[in-house]
Amino acid sequence: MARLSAAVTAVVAFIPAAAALGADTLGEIRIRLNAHPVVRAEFTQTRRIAALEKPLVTQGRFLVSRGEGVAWQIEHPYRSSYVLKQDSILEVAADGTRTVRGERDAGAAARINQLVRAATAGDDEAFTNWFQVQASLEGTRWRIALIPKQQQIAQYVRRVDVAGSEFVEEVEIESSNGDQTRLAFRNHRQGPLSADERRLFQIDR
Amino acid sequence: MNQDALWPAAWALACLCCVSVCIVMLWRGAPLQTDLLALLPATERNPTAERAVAALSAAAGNRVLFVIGHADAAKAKQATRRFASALRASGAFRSVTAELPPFDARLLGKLYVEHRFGLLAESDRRELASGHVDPQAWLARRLASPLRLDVAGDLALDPFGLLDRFVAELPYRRLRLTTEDGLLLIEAARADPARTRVLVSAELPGSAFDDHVQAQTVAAVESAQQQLETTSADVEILRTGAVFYAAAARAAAQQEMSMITVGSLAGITLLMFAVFRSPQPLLLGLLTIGAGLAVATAVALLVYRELHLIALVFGATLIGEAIDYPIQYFAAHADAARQWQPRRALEAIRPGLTFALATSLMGYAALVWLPFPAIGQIALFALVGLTAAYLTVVLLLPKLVRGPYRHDLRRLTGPAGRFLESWQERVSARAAFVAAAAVIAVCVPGWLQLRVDDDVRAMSSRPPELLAQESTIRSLTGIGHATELFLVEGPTAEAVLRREEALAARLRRLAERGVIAHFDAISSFVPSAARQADNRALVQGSLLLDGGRLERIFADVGFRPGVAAGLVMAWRAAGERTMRFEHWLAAPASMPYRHLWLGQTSGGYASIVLPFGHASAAPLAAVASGLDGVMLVDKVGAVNRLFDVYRTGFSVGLALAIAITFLVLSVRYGRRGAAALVLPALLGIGVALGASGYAGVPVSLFTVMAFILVLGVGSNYAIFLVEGSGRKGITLIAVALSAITTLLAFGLLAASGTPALARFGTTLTLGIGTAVVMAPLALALCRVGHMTPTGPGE
Repeated sequence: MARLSAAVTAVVAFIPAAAALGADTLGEIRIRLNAHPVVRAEFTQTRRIAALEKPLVTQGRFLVSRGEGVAWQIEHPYRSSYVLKQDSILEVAADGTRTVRGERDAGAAARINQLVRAATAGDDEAFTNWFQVQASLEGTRWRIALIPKQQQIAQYVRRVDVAGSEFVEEVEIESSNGDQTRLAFRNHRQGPLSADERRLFQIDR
Repeated sequence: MNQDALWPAAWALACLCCVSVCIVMLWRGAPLQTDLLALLPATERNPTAERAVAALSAAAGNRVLFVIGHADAAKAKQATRRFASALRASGAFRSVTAELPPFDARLLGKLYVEHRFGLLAESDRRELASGHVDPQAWLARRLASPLRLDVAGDLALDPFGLLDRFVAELPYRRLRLTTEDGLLLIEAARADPARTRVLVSAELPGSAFDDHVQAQTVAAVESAQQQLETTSADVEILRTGAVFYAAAARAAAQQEMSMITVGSLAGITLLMFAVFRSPQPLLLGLLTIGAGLAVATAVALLVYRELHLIALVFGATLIGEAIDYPIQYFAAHADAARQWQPRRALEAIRPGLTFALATSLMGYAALVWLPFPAIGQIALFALVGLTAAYLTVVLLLPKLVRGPYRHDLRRLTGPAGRFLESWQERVSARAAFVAAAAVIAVCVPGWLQLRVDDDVRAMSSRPPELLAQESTIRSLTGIGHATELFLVEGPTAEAVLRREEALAARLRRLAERGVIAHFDAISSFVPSAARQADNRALVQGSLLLDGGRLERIFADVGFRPGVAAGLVMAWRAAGERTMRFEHWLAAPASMPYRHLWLGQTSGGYASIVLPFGHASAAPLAAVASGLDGVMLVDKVGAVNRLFDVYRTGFSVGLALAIAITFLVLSVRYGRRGAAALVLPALLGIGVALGASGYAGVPVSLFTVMAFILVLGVGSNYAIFLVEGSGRKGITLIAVALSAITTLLAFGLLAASGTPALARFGTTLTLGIGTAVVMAPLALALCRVGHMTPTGPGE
């Protein structure tokens, strides 16, 4: 069940891959984004939710490794990490308590992985099953709009917009209930995983 | 009509009636039972437990699952639609579903939202109960989490995320299915993400064990599969369902039955003709077999209303035994040659036939007492069939064989007679003892290696390719399969749910220790009213703080004014309202789990809790102990234990049968004679046991059952030999002929694909084979050779 939100998260997390999709003219972008097997960035997430008086701002670090998965480390307003792997999701609370959610989210994780593989392999068909993709390119800047085709995503997400140049820089998610989420990524770095980062992905069950 | 003609006429009429009963029954479609579960006895004293087992197997049994896979997603979906419509068009199924009602979080949210204050995930319940809860931290964490679900649709309805986590923990998460384009997709498991697989489920129009249903289903699936394979290449089609196993079992049994029938009849035809060189003994022999089978089939059908196919396969082996009686008769006929007087000859052979029949019947009669329906059928079939063959020989053959035998058999009987004479002259009782002792000495090391194993799974054989497809489908879809279950009973539905919760608490501890993987229980979907009230109290005590504190916390986290007040108002409005169990049961979302609810029973209400992923049933039994109204039902385990009890019982029964056979035989042959006649069969049992030990084949209930027949059938040859020793050569030939036909039938049974039948056949072949070879020892030990071939009536 958490699959649905995780799938949305995947769209966010794996944007480098997702951006590779679209018309053939975006082949160049695909190649550019696929050039980085490991990408780190800082993020600021701004959520506008009807029930909240002012936008909810979260800051932290983001790491995607094509071989391992995604780590989403929140540093402000409190510390907490989420590590999404192929068959499990690890939640590390501020006090260091680790919760592995294996089987529960295996479906979601597998689906995320499928999306990533589909995207990186240039398998547009699998991806376009899920989303209607609109892309535009201006110089080095590009912009992609994803509109869910499948009811099970559409009931949560109305539209996702992604923009960037060498890396993904902005993501906007418009939820079906009117909530809006905006993600800004900056200070992108690449290069192989460090020992600490590698440890992050090691989930002892 | 005089007395002499009355009985034969009556018997001929009875046989004709039976033949017509068989024809009518076959015309209407033979009621053949293929359900292997029907072989199993009722193991539970609690009738609700038997009902639980039946409900569970019916829930699984009447459903067929297909998985259509292709590397290309669009082609997989297209193929699935084609396959489903081909199945629908065939009309062989009640329903074909490629789309299940979506178990979508939002739909579940709608179902649960008004009862949300009484519903807590286990982890939240524990945390709230611990008393150390910081509501503000909960709110903040929830807001920042990237894994938010929002099943309520509006953050204000569920700001703490209680409902989100309750829904996320529901067992639906284990169904690895998702809907896409209206189809039910299997979430690309770790195994093969490059392939798209779509699930199709279909419901049978009747029982999976009904032969019409089987034939229709299998034909429809076959043709749909063929269509698909010709139109789209590289489609993977997997299937599973009880109906496929049952159809395979039926086909195998029918093939084996015809193999045994054709093999036995061909052997009999060849041998009878080779020995007697005349069509008359052959035709009348076949008549006897036909009468035996027809009467047995008719009686079994009238008693049981249906025949189990295993009973039928076994019944085919009766051909080899039923021919023994006419063989004895024709041996006497051939021996008498020109001095043939039907009545006198009959009186000469009747004592032997009667005693042989009596020992055989005793063996089979012992099996009737077993509580296994199919074995009861086998025994009844044999009892009636052998008796009918005997009556045919005794009543009809004297009327039909009027003229003397015209062929000269001396070329065969001469050497046989000389062998028998020299045997009687040269082999002393002492030599016979030595030979018997030598046989036993060879067997002893084998006996020492004997093992016992009563696993019921040995009874049936399932085609490996079907098993492989089944396990692939299970691991792909997460649709579980349980052989053990907990039965939870209580006076009211509420009591059942409370007891389930007590059980669930223990099962959760087992799951944390990794003893089980998980469990399915209805109380996970709808907590008991007591649990819901308890949850509401926890929520109120720890989260819904009073005196404006809640307002402040909500404001600090950033909620608009009024959200906290709205939440408190909603809580008050919900009041003591409890989610009712029927409410969930009526919702489409309950469909995949409805079989867990057994509803009203004689003693109140009952439900099933299914544990998954355990290696053995032992820890489960410990879990159930001490819990009111909870019991572990372990059908396979119970049957295995029952088999064990019966094996022990039958071993005692075998000893008893040996004693009784001895007593019956000693009436005519004296103690020494009776001992000599039983000895070959005993050696047969010994050799079969020794062979089992050497071969490492465990002894099971079926082995012991086979021994009872070895005793009954194996003694016949010694009896025939001793009885007919006055006729010398022809007797030896007749015994050899009887033995070969019997061994041929049991030998063919040993080749059966059903392990239980094969082992049964092997034991019988070995035991009876040994009994035949050892039969001449009885001649050496039992000096009744001088006994004149006359009946006791003279």
